[in-house]
Amino acid sequence: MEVMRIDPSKPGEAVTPEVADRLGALYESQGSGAVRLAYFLTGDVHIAQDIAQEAFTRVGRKLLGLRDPEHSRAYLFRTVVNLCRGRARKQKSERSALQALNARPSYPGPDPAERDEMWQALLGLPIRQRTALFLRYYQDLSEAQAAEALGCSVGAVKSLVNRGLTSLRTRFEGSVGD
Amino acid sequence: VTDIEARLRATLGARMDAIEAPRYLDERVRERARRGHLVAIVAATSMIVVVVIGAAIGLRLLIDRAATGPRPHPGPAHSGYPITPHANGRIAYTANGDTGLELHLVKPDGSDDEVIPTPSDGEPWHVAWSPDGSQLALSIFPRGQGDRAIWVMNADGTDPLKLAAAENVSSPTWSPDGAEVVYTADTGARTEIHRAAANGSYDEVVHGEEAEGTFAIFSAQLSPDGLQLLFDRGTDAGFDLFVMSADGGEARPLTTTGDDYDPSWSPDGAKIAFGREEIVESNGRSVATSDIFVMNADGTGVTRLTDGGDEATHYSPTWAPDGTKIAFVAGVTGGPGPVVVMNADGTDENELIHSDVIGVSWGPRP
Repeated sequence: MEVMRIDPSKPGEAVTPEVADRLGALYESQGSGAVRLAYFLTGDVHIAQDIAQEAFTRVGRKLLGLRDPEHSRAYLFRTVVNLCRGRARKQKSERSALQALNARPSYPGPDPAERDEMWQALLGLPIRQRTALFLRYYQDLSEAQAAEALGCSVGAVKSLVNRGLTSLRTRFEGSVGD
Repeated sequence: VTDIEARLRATLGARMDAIEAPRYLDERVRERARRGHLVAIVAATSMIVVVVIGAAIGLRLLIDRAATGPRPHPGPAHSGYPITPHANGRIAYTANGDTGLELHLVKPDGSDDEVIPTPSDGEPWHVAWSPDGSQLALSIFPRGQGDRAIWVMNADGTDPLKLAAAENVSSPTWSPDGAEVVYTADTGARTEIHRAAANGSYDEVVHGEEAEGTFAIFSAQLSPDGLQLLFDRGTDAGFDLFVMSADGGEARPLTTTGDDYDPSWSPDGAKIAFGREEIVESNGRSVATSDIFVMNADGTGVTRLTDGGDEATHYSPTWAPDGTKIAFVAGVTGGPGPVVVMNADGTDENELIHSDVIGVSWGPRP
């Protein structure tokens, strides 16, 4: 089904109740992915929910205008990543958390397994490596799809994934396969 | 599929599947979208009004100019300010106090520390001395929601003047002649470098672009001769240092590591001190540290000045006006920390201010 193209620059064509309903439906289908990515990048589920909401309200109308669902997902994920990085940058400008995205998560979670070694190791990876691993190993995106979501080349995705896996291997050397 | 990949998939699956987008967000997204619609209509209407008023003002200016000839550009045309040595004066810093952040002045030997009153209801985050040591520029952040602002005032806190406000503003810096304050401002997805008259008579955007989040410009500073703008901004690799002409134009990268920020010209313009983030392994974890580095003004000869260890977040280097020393905030694990003063070659570190400091600027003797 072809999705109606909406020009965000024309306020008169902006959010009618019908469009708002479609936006809500889009949120239902892609909201979880956005929240999970934000959670993986911030380590805080409440902040992740805020970021996902912000991402939808910022680019929701633009997403509805995209004909290809794959493009809208890539665009949404890229927005989530930028908002997560923006949040870290804002903290950096406030000198309160320079290493926020590389630090221990502030939300340990109720599950004891939340603190397992692999999870901690993942949260210690640089944000773009983390995003690449999320897209490839959780969302099961192809390298080309991940490249679109990250706004980089396929080669860069390969490099990010490779560097992330290498860090994990180094980290778990001696414990992998135990 | 390797063991590590299988373990990665299992961990991500276990963690992520437990996270759902809450239902209530659905309604919040719709509601905000509807509100956004109203805002868009108001914005469009406002824009039409602004365009009409702007056209009327422009027409009036054209008529005036035809009658009186062109007005001089507010920034004086010159081939570079003379670089004049200054003796070291007091250090200004912002630090946590009883009621939030406070502005202090202290002599370089640590004596005569005093709290200076600051304008408005917000907290002073960043501070910069004017070149003649008579005034201070400040970024004031609101205690709650609201825009962040740039202020100028006398060094004793009198005659405060609000120069600008935006969603986010950087630490301000001064032009070498003290006539302008340079700052960066972010609003929505737009990031800009401004040169504003310190007396509030004009505020020019010398560079603006669509770039949000970490891609925004963090801070900007004119070279001591006034010919170049030095700034740090986000890139695909992280954040790096750039220079461009003082009036804007094409940016030229000075560093490409993706880890460099908080640049500061030496008083003679020959060197640039800056913060560099590094990822190090500590107790089995990757942690981000930050130390102070220095390089030649053309980007060559990068040299480490501090090595604070796994928990160090050294940032905000500020040169002594005579160029012999550098002060910086020796933060710990991303937070505030004391001010440390060292020789410009990194030797002889001494903790000068023992508070939780956020911003620091070393002023000249008036």
